[in-house]
Amino acid sequence: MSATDFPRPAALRPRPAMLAAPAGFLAELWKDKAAFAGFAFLILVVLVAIFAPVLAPHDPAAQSVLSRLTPPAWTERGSAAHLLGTDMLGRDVFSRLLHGARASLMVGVSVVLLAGSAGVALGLVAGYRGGRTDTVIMRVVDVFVAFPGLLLTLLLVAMIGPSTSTMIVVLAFSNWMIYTRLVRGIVLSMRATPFIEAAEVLGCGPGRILRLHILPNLIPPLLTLAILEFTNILLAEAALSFLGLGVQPPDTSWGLDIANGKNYMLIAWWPITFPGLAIAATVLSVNLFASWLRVTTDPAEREKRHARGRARALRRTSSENG
Amino acid sequence: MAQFLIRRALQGMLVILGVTLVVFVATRMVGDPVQMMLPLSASAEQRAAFSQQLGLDQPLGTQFLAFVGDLLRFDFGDSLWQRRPAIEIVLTKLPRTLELIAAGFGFAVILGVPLGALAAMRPDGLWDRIIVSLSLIGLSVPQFWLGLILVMVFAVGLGLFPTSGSGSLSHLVLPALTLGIPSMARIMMLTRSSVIAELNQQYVRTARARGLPFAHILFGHAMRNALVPVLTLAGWEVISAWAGYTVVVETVFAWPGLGMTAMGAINHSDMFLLQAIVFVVALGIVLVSLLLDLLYKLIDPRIDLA
Amino acid sequence: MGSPIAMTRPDPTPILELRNLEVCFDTRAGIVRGLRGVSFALEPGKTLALVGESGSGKSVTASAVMGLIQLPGAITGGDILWKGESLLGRAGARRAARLRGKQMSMVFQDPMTSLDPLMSIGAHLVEVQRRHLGLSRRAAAARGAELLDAVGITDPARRMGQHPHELSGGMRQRVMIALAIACEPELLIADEPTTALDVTIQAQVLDLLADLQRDMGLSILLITHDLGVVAGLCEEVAVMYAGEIVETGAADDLFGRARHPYTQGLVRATPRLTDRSERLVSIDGAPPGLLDPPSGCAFAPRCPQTTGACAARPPLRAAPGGHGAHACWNARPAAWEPAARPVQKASFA
Repeated sequence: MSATDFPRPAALRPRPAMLAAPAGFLAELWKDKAAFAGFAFLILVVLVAIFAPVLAPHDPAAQSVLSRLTPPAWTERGSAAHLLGTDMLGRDVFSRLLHGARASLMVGVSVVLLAGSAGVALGLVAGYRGGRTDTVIMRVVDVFVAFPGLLLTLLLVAMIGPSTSTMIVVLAFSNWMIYTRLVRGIVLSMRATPFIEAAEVLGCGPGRILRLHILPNLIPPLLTLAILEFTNILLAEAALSFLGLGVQPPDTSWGLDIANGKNYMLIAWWPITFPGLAIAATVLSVNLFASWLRVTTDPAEREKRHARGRARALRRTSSENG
Repeated sequence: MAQFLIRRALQGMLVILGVTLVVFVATRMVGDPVQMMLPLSASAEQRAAFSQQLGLDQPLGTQFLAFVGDLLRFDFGDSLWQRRPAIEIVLTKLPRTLELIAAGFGFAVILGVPLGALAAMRPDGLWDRIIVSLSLIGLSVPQFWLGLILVMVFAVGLGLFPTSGSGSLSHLVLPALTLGIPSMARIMMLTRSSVIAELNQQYVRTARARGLPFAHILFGHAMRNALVPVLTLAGWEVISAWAGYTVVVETVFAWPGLGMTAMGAINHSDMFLLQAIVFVVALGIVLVSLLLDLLYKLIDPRIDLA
Repeated sequence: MGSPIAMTRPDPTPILELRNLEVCFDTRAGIVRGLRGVSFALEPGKTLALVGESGSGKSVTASAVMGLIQLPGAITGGDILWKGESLLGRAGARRAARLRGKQMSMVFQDPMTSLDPLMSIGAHLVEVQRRHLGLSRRAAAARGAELLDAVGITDPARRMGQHPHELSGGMRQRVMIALAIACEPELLIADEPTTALDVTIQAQVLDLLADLQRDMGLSILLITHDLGVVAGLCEEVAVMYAGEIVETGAADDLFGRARHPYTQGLVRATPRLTDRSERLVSIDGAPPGLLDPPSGCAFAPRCPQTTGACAARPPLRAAPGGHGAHACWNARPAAWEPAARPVQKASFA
């Protein structure tokens, strides 16, 4: 048994074929009910974001003095016209919730793509070129990591002038480093492996080696990282919008709605509760799905998960018997 | 050791220089300080005079050197909002923020580490499932919203704590919880996975073969090794709170610390005050990370600081 | 199968006896049968070698004896006896817990990862002695330094304060041995103790084990894939293949008079300084997977002398003439035996 125990870098483990087969993917996902629920909820959020104008019963910006602060439909003074009630200006909370999904997803996806592509490119260069280039890039990363994160973001947004696009650029500016570190680490460990050395000896060019050998090994960990970063950006977007430095009215955002509802939360709980739940549920879904994905794309982790399942089953039978 | 301190001091200076550059570019080149800080009604003469006073009519290079020179003397100028030296305001607000961070992290570490270890003792057992679920919820909830909900339930609903402000221990409870809960969730998760990983190490097997009891192996060996990554995270959590989470939490609870002052500075377009805060925070980050490296050396003999 | 195989003389109660031991691993791919009925006995003061290639079940056997099999693995059948008393079941587990680290101890293959990286060498030694011998910290530290000296570590006082990463592999293995003998055990299990070490260090560590055995009257269960190690140190040998023992015998005898074709193959594949003319011959093929082990002889697919009988699993039977036992239907002397082995003993009957 001992010969199978030697450690291998995560990047060198064979890729599971399931990433290529959607049916197998869903079957595998179904076994983990929490991750499946998370994935299903994410699909729902994406659909809502796309079809918000069709789905929303009201114009999210339409104000109505007469129906201000109507409670949710199932409460005593609630109205069937406003499922989740209305806010201080009489706007429909449910419709704003549906439209708010757009801001969150848009900001999250843009920042992850922007920061991710910049970070991955720098990581590839640093890991592949090595030497001086590597030292300089990683020193810049170190400096950026030591920046006073959110505070510097606030300063930049305040100087440039708050808007959705400012927020995207600034969040990308302060969140690219983690991709660089991950990619560089993997490229370095890959380059030291015999099969890359062999490919180099055989005259494979750097482009070909990157594309054929390194990129495939990068994708699973990168995917997991990007998904987890997406949750961070989602929360950062909400916080910035809450502070008034993110999405600006008349656009909607869950964070912005909570900021609006904050001032009269003592008399109306619904305008802040539902957007907050929407953020929490989205982030939770991503986390559930990501932790499943991480385990599933790593054969060693899968084996451990299986072992734990067996251990649980055995404990159950032994406690029933004795 | 001395060599290490010198190297870290140089690195710290590099960070400070980087922050200086970003702040300089942001305040002088991206934004227009004159337009931001003077009221719209100001006349052209007033604008020109103000611009001269700030040295904005000088070439950029000269401006930058003057800027760095002021910073070295901790001279950040006078706050336009409160009409007194910016550094003075920062120093009076600083203790309140430190108090909040100490309370929040004390709580996060004291609960997070033991609960994480408890979960790790039987992965997928009952305790593990409860603790992992709570952690997942804890790190999925937006911090500012968590604060508002805590206020609605514990301050407004149950009347246990004041809704905002500071001054007594009961004022501290809700802000500290809000600051600490997401960190606690992350510390719990990392402690758990780290202890599980350590319990699978070969040295744990050999310790079992030497007949040492499980509790001894867990507390005497696995936990100590597992705490190395947990320390990294805890340090990172303190830095993130210091560098921003407190802004959110202090805003929610009207806690009169650096974070709320930063928001006030932004809302009053008080560039000088904001600069001062950013610099003091950057300095704090450099100091905390230096402290962390020294702590590592204390825990892990393999780390060579030379 | 079934009854334990007496090695040479059945006189004293064996210190350790395995009866038809079975271990399974429940993996994602299915049930892997790591041990498929392993039986042997080790008499006090003797050294038994378990040899075989990687995956043959040697280390699993050692782990099972030490009670280190963890889920997804489990002991699914058979028994482990310590001086005639079982170490399995509830009462057995309590007995084993008292023995572990005190009466029986183990040295592992990889000295690099076997010590707690955050603890000094001295702290390791103090810990185990306080636990099992009830010594004071001071007494344990003093004795710890003596133990380091006994395993050939120079300047023990300084080494006590050092951490594992400051020591070479050979040094660490000496520390592991010092830890293993700290409580004066009766049985030492050494799982490939020299595999991870340089060749020159290997010989030193083996000499150390031999010295300790002589001085302390240890029984040693030595696990190795290296027949050279066996010849120097051991009295008895058990050859493992695919989770079972295929041949046992006295070390002096076995290499000269191997009867099982697998053992013969192993011997032929081992370089010898004395026979310069002989070519090394490898065994073709690979051992069977233990996920779905063959019902017949596990070695049959690779065996040069397979017959129809091999479809049934051969039991371990005593060889005629009292020279050990083997599990082969067609056992016969190796082709090279009469001429090529000048070291044969005259006692051949």
